[in-house]
Amino acid sequence: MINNNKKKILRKALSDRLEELSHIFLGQDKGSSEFSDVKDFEECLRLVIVKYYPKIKSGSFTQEEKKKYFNLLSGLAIKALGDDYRILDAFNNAYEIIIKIEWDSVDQKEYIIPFFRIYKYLLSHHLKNI
Amino acid sequence: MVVIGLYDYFSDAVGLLHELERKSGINLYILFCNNFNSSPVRFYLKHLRRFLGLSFRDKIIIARLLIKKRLVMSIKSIHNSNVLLWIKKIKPDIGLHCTGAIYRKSLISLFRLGILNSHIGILPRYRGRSVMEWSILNGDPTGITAFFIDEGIDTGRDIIFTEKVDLKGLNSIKSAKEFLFNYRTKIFVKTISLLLKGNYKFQKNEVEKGLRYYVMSDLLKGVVEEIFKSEKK
Repeated sequence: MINNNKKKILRKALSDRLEELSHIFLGQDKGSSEFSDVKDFEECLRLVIVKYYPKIKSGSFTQEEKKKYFNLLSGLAIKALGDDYRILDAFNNAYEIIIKIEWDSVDQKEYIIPFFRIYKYLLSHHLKNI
Repeated sequence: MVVIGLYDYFSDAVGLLHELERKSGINLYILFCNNFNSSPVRFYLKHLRRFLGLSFRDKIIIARLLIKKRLVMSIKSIHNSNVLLWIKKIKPDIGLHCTGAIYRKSLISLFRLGILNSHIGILPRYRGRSVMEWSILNGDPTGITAFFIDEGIDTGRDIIFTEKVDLKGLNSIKSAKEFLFNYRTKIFVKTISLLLKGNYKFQKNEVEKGLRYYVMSDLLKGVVEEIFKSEKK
């Protein structure tokens, strides 16, 4: 159970992260109705964090692995709206590594901007609901 | 009781050596394997550097174990057939899990009672990584669980005991985590004593009652650090 003190600290952290994101031009924001969902989110979460995240982090990923990572991650978006912070944290982790990598324009368009849009929506949603 | 401590580093093993090396009823072995697949030169240099960093007293203990052939180093991984053969020859009762490796059944089955883990979270609720931090975030107790592992991540069925550990006296998340990691040695010693006396009753690790947690992001780590500090006030 997250008490009021924790909520305040969490709200400040999410708000700061959202502020960081606001400096990135994302075009039109994506609404939650456009999010996809997965059946087995526990397995999806495991694959995102255990299998693909280390590859992205080390920069040793193939095109296929990159595609899989972002697809699986976006498949977690609906679940990330809930109060299980493990899922939102997969997006936090992704953001923290994505901003350290130089992506080409194709990747930017195909993966990074859509990810940022989803992430921005998730942060706004949680800020409203904390 | 034959015990093999499965370690990655000397520095992690010395605490256990002080506690168990001369304890009656315990035949202690320490096994270091190359679970990170380093080159042989790198592997030995890493260990030499760690050895040189030890106190004189700790060096003596390590040297004594080496002479008695109770400290074994292998440049192969723990699942290498020669390593498995050595373990089989020793006929261990218990293994102590202190490596970064995930064990296969072929290894676990070589230990009569199994391989013990001293997990820095409360099972069955908190499996996986960063569990101390997740417990603090969720407002749950922090602590350690001693259990026999299986091939999964903290899914081993038999819990020997769980101990809640209050971390409020510590200054930061880093120091709290270090404290818990060091405390694991005490938990191993306590567990072995219970097993020697037969004074225990397994509690079932009902994995369906818990969740697997993963490495926490910098954002949430920052949140947990602030929560931790604010709750000390």
